[in-house]
Amino acid sequence: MTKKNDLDFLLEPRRQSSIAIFLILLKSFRVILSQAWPIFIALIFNPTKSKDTYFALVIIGITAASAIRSIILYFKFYYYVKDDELIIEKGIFQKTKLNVPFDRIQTINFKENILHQFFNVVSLEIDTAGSKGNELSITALKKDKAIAIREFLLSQKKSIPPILFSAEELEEEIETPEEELLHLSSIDLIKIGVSQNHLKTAAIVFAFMFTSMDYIENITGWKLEDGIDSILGSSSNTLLIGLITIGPAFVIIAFLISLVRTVFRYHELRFIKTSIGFKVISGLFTRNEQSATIQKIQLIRWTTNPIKKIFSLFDISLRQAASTAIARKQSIYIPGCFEEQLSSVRATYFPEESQLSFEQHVIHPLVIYRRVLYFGLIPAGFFLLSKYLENSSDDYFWAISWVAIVLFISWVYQRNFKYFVSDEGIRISTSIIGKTETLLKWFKIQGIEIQQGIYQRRKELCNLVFYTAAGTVKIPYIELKKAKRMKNFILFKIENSEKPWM
Amino acid sequence: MIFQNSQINIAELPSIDEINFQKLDPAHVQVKYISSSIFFLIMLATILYLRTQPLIIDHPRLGNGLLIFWVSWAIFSFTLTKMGYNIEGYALREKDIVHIKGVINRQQTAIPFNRVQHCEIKAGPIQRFFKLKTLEIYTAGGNGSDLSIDGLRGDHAQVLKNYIIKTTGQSRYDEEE
Repeated sequence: MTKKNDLDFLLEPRRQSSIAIFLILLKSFRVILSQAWPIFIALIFNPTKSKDTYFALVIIGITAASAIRSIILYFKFYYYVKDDELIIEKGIFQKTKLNVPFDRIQTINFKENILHQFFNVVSLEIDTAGSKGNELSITALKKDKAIAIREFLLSQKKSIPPILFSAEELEEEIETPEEELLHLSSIDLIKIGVSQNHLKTAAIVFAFMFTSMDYIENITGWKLEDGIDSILGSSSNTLLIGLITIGPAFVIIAFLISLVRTVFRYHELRFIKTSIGFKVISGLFTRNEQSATIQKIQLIRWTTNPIKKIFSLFDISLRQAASTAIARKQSIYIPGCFEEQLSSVRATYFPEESQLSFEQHVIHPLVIYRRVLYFGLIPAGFFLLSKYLENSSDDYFWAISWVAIVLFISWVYQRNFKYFVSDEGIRISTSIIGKTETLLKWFKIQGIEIQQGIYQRRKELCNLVFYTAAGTVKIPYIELKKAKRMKNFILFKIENSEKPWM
Repeated sequence: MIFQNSQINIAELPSIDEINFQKLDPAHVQVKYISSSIFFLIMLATILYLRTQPLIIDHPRLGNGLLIFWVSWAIFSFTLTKMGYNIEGYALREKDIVHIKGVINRQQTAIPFNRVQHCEIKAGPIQRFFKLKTLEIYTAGGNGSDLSIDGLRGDHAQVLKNYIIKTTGQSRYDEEE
């Protein structure tokens, strides 16, 4: 308790270290630069067009405004401790008061870059597993103060038990050895590479080429579009010819990219079950290790596609609780595994699953018409309208076949969307080409929402949405009565659950 | 702890249909009107300025079109605000809070108190003039499940917040026993 006096400074509102002004300023510059870099590059590479004085004025203006903003932000920022909460007050126009009860604090991180080190300050970030990334962050604090705050918060947290594991569980961990569930061989790896979603990769490659084309043209002055046009010829059927010639090329490139990527990333992948959760180690050049404790896993999702089915492969992701910004890094992803590993994961996350009875439900067929309207008829209508305005009205074929495709896909979607409800959780299965299944236990849910558009209100239908700490799960077009009943039941289960959700 | 697992009859579960939603403070509509008035006035000024530019003087139809667009958007927005006020509401229950909103797409969100991460009270400049506050309730479920209840009278927001924080604490101690 000798530290008590050192911590008195926390009891009254305090400002951060004055270095913060400078750091806030730098941060706003970085944001501006990251948003506007194409402009800067264009100006640097293309000096003839730039209006130098105008440009300089804008830069000076932005600098001055940012500087004033940083100073005011600094003077309007206070932190202090009251009762068992850490409180931050901040804001210029929109005043904000943030309270974080000590026991909601998940992690306390120090961040130091070179500048921080130079001024002997650190940035304190406190994550509460909420939605806004690091909910609380103090840009600059003197190092000794930051350490004092961290120690104080951690000591407060410990006095309120169940966030970390208790001593007995830790001992158990030492006793039970790790069990290797899966070790991918080179052949498995090639199978996985072959069965990746190549269309998706192709789309990304295509999108990247397309968006960067403008920049490249601007900066270098090359005429890429003309080049492409001259290759394709600018006939009225450019789109069709383009798809036929470029499409397969993109798919082949994408195939190679995903094959190589898979081999590099998942080389020697080992999927291990520890006594408190799971661990995945993989990679050729950089070995990545990801781990998830059972308690932190919020939901699991596995998918398969026609090629994967031939090899009887699944990919699994174990979604862990995390703020949205780091959620993707926090989920364990296994690109390929077999039925055996899948059932082991399911049994660990949801031990009761095999004993409970699940009731099968389907979604309402009206979802087909809606999807056809939104994705089929309306786009086709716009397409025809634009063609009509161009006076070339021989494009009905494209519009009609588009609508037909959407109709077929929507029909498959509705037919294959099934959800299985039990007392403890839900399994949702969707499939169009590939099949995705999601397993979610009720007590992992953070909030429930019933959504209704005008059309759904008329038809007594709604979407039921479950928010979890690892993403959102949605059941579209279910009967309002059924949704309400499920909602009441799930709320009841959550509110009476004594298990911590993480 | 005694293990309890009594059978539940679904019909007896507390239902959301039976709750009466509490309306927001009537001054909330005024706050919204004022802030959208400011927005639309700025937009009107921009449109009027644009009308003095040669491009629009050459194409009078374009200028009129902009004005018509402005008028219809403003009417639409003000009507939506009024209608939205009649719909929006919240209900505080023993173990959760339910919030309803939306004129076109309606959303009814329920947050159990034992899933609340933290609460925030906010107030913009116009809200401060009418002594109104916004209560924001954060969960770990991402943006969608975070509730933001506008238009609460100052003391009311504080009372709500205290109640929620107290209850979240309560349920935590329940868990430990």
